[in-house]
Amino acid sequence: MIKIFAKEIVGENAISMQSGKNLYERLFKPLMSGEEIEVDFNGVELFASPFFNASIGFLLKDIEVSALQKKLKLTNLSTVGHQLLNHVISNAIKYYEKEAKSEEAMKIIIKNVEES
Amino acid sequence: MQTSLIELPSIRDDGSGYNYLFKLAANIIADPHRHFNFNFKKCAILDQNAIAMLGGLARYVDSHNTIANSGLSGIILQKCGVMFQVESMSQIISELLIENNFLSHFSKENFDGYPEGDYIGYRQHMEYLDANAIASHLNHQWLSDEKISISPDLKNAIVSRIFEIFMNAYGHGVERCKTPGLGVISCGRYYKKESKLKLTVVDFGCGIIENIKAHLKSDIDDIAATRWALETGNSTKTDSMYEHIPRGLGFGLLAEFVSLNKGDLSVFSNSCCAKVSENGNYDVSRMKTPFSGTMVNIAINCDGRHYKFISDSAGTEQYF
Repeated sequence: MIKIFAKEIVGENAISMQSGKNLYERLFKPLMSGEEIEVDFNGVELFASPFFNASIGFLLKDIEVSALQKKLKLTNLSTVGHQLLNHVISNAIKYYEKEAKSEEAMKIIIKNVEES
Repeated sequence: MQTSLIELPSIRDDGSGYNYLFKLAANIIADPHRHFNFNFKKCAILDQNAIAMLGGLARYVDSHNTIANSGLSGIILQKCGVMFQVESMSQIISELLIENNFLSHFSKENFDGYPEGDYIGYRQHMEYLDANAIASHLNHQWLSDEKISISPDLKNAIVSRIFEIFMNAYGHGVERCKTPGLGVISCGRYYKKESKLKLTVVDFGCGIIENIKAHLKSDIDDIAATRWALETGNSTKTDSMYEHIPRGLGFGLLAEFVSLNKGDLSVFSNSCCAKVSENGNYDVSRMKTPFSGTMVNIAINCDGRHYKFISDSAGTEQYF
């Protein structure tokens, strides 16, 4: 199992979209190749939604939440961080469902235009 | 040079206070190229909403007159501006505006301000979002342990949610502001007796409704546009660093927090006002006087009795 210390990537504040993207880049490839990862949030004090949107939330574009739960272990995440992360995941699931539906609708429109 | 004398009444954090502030803002924004003298003779109370708006308007006037006077020669000759008449203030008002660092921004007198210091009060934030600077300011200075005794979890929750307000201001406001250099203005106050923290964040950007209409490329009704903006999952992607990243949680998180905390949250932008009701939903209504920008006010109970850290109380699934 790979172990990542979040503080080394984001510092004390896990708040911005940029720092979220930095964590995402460390997680994406190993997760896609089936590796298990532990992210240790020890020393990270603050959390805000842009950070989780761009890290864990963005992973859900390509990885099912059930697969993510099996492969990703989060340790030393504060109560506030946990709460926020669960909100972000819930929103991300709906977001990508909506995006998939609109892509599907677009494909049907294009198909209909091509056939007519 | 034309001069306007504005005799400020007492302005509270209530309905009539907001009505007065938005009328005042509309008048000044309509014609900023003049000198404004603010007299405080009739003013006995100034809550944080008034202080934030006064500071914002002063910057707005300064900014317009600096632009107007910088001309071809490149010389900045600022003749118009805002004068807060300190001699007209009662002792209570002048002490308040010194202690919260407002006057150090606007007066030639030496009021021993704290440009970087640890106080809860008036702040002018820069034009570009420095997330770490704002977080550090909120966490270590604004809500330092010496000033407010709250549990670490509640403190983290407060800072996290207040940061969402700033993110919104930078998204809907500053980045799309027609007047450069205004940044975001905030004024906070801690009411020790009630253990209540109040914060106002104001910007003079194009506002939430204008942003939504531009994003949706639609002239939808203002109330519908405001409701769209407040719905979880909707976003104009004003922070669009990357495509396909889920967004649109800020207002939902704020409403949930305020509802659990038994606090208050109001968002005033363009022609509409949204307030969080007891059940945690937003009630949207039209404002008597529109505001060309966005003002967010939050009141938070800091005694810890009103905030549960049980996520399933809010009906959110536990993935991790």
